[in-house]
Amino acid sequence: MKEGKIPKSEKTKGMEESIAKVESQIVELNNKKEKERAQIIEKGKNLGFSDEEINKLLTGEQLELDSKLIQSQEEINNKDKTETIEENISDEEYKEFIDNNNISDNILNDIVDKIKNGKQLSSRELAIHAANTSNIEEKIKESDKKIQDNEKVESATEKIHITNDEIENNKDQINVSDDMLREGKEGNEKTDREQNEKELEQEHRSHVEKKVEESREEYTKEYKKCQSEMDRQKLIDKTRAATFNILAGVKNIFSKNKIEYQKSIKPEDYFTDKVKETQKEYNRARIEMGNLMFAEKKAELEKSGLSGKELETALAKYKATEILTKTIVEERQKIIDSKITNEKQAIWKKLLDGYRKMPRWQRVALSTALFTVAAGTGIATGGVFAGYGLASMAAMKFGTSMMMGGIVGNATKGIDLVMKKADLKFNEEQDNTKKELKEKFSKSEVDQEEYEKEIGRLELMEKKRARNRTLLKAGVGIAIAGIAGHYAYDAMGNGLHHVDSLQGSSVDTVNGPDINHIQHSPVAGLTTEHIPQHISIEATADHGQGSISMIHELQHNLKIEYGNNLENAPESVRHIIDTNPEQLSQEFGMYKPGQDAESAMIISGSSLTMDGHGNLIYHDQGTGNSITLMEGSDSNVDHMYGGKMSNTDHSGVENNITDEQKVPEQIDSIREEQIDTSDKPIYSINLDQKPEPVDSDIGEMAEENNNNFDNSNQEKSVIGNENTEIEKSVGLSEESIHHVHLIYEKNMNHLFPENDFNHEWDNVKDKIPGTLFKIEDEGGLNDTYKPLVSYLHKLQEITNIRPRESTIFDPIPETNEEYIERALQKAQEMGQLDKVKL
Amino acid sequence: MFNEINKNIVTTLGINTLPIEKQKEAMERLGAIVYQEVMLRVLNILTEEDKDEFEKLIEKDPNPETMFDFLSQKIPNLSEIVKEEAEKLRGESTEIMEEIGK
Repeated sequence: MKEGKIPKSEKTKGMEESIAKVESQIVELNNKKEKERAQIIEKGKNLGFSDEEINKLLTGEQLELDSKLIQSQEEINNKDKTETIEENISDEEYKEFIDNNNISDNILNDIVDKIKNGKQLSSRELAIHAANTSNIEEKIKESDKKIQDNEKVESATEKIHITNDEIENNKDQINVSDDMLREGKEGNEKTDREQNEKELEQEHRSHVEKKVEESREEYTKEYKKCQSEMDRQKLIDKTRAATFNILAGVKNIFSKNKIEYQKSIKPEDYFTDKVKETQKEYNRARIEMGNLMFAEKKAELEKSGLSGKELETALAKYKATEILTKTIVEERQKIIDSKITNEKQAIWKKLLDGYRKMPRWQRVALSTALFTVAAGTGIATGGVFAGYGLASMAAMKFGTSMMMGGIVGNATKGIDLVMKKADLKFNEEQDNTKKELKEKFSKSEVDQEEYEKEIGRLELMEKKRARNRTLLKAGVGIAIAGIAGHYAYDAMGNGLHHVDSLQGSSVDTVNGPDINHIQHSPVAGLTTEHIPQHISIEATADHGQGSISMIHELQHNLKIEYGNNLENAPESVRHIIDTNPEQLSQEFGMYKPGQDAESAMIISGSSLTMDGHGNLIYHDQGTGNSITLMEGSDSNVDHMYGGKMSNTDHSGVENNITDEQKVPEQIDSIREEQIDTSDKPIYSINLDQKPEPVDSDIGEMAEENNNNFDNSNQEKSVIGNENTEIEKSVGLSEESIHHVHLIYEKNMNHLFPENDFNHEWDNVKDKIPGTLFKIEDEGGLNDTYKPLVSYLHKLQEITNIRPRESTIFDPIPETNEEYIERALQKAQEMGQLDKVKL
Repeated sequence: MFNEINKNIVTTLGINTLPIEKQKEAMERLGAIVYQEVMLRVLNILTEEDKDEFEKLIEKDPNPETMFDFLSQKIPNLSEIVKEEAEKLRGESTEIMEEIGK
């Protein structure tokens, strides 16, 4: 196509040709209609039809032909409509085009976008297109080449909905190059192939799921028969044994040898081979399901470029979460549900209600007890309950009442021995800190006030430790009583391990448990009502959070921990739960609105920890320092945050990349460490690129957010990051989550622009989506909230995830705020974030 | 010997590779399974009178201590049931999970 000035009459030339083509089709149809009418009349007469019958036949044909004519006329009308499309090119711009054939890139890009999105061009755009066809086609090609992501190609092809035949038949009208046609066809073929593969995979998955279901049903049926009989026999046998032993004891009071009732009930006596067979079959089916999930995930991760140790780690996490849940937890739950007979329904409901009402710490304590009772058979829980050290001890108290034998261990004897090692370390650290402090003081590096304050803090730590020792011994003494000797001691050691020390460790059974981390005092009486309700609730800035977001996460974790049971909670816990995160952030000196540097600079990995006494401690990952912001006895802030502030946005996030860490090899080591110690945050550092200062990135992100920026480039860079892909498999990268959070804030501002004044969003963000849906169903939804509810529906539709409801595992349902954040993250994972932006 | 015995459920199932909150969540879920299985078996064993008493108890005070105190009085082999159910879950989970992704 030639480029340059074109006569004005040519701009509608293409249009006129199309109209003429359609008109000629109408003439052709009319001719065809007449010919067909003549044929019908002739056939009708030959068949002996009356004139009336022939007219009916003709009317039927007429309708069909008329519909075709109407359709053709509509085509003409539609073509005419292009003349009335709103003109978006100004007179000046168009004059510049007419006079000098100068077109701005913006106009050309708009035309490219319209063509790619199948939108009609205005008359001026058509003219520009006609004069710049090759230029525009080039731009389209360039744009298409950028789309290399298979999913995007697939998605675009799905949108077009054109088959290869259609492309071939409409080649002339589509007016595209042969190369483009070929690419289109190849794309379609690839999509077809992938579609077929997907269908096959889906079919295979359905087959495996069916197998699991059928084998489960078979197994449950057989199992129920046998279990019931065995339990009955066991009870009879126990009673019989007790009676026998009493009688035997009476008869043998003069004998040194006690006569024992020997009979024991063995499961194999009651569980038939059929049960074992069905169980094996069921297990095989579950293994198949697990392996299928594993293979699918592996393929997905490999496709995203993951390999080696990173792949292994990502898969291990997937296995320990999704596969464990699907093949073990969910399956067992189905079996349990199937065992609830009608007569058990009422009591079962009460049992579950009771369980759901327990605060989380109590449920975890209960789990501890259950697994601890089984410790004698080699089951232990590891350090996972360490956060519940005291609760676990109390839980064991009732756990121990279930133990037979009543062997009272000498565990308290071990406490001093165990503590000795920890004491040495603690004392050494205290001495070093004091020495260092004194040196600084003598050099006037710290003033007297600060010196005294620090010395006071160290002394307080020593006092607390001494008190804890006494109480711990008392607590252990109570809790250990009744547990069978060393097994229980061993299990308890596990229970006392702090989570931080969990990685790759088992209990040192020679030196005993490391209780160095215990910060909490058992309380006399040691019942679950009186013990501190948690030992350590933490919120870590490992998702790119700033102070407000971190406080919000802490609130969430505290809510899970306490449920509605706040009576025994420390005052500080109640204050934190009841106060707006933004306000708390201001109280802690972490957010100073209106100042240039308004937000605390939170290094990734920094944390807020609420200990069992209700002390709120902020740990700065950057400096390694910790500060007690609040003490549990009241709701006052005792010490304000005194660290660096930033002038980014109020999320105030900084990634954990120090100057030193920007050295590639050190980044490597950090990355490695993070993979090995999986409870640590995973950072998004691209090894192939020298990291840019994060401050500016975040600043830009915030800036861009304020300017309603198009974040597509940002997303691409995230997707393209190798490390991000690791995290994508187990969640989003820090950057991605931060980015999603910005979108969340933008969306909420869009939905509730007046929230700062009327708190429309504040009023409902902590409510559950189900409540809004219910009000909507009942037709009582206020206009203010209709957009929000529509948005919630949209999120469900796009992401296919539903708001989490209260379950036995997590009695606290998801709030609107939590659901929207989660759904947006899911959309980001799916590459659909654009669809849920407002 | 202890170390062998102590090959615990957390390590076996790879839960120790997860972040802390996920570890808690996973163990809470597994504990809930054992709890329910134990309760199911208990309900099969209790007499109707005991069940009525138990029902009243959990209505009044669903505290786990109280519940287990009551049950251990009524069911002498309660600890065995707990052990069996916990062991069953551990054994089954291990058997299945070890075969996945080999």
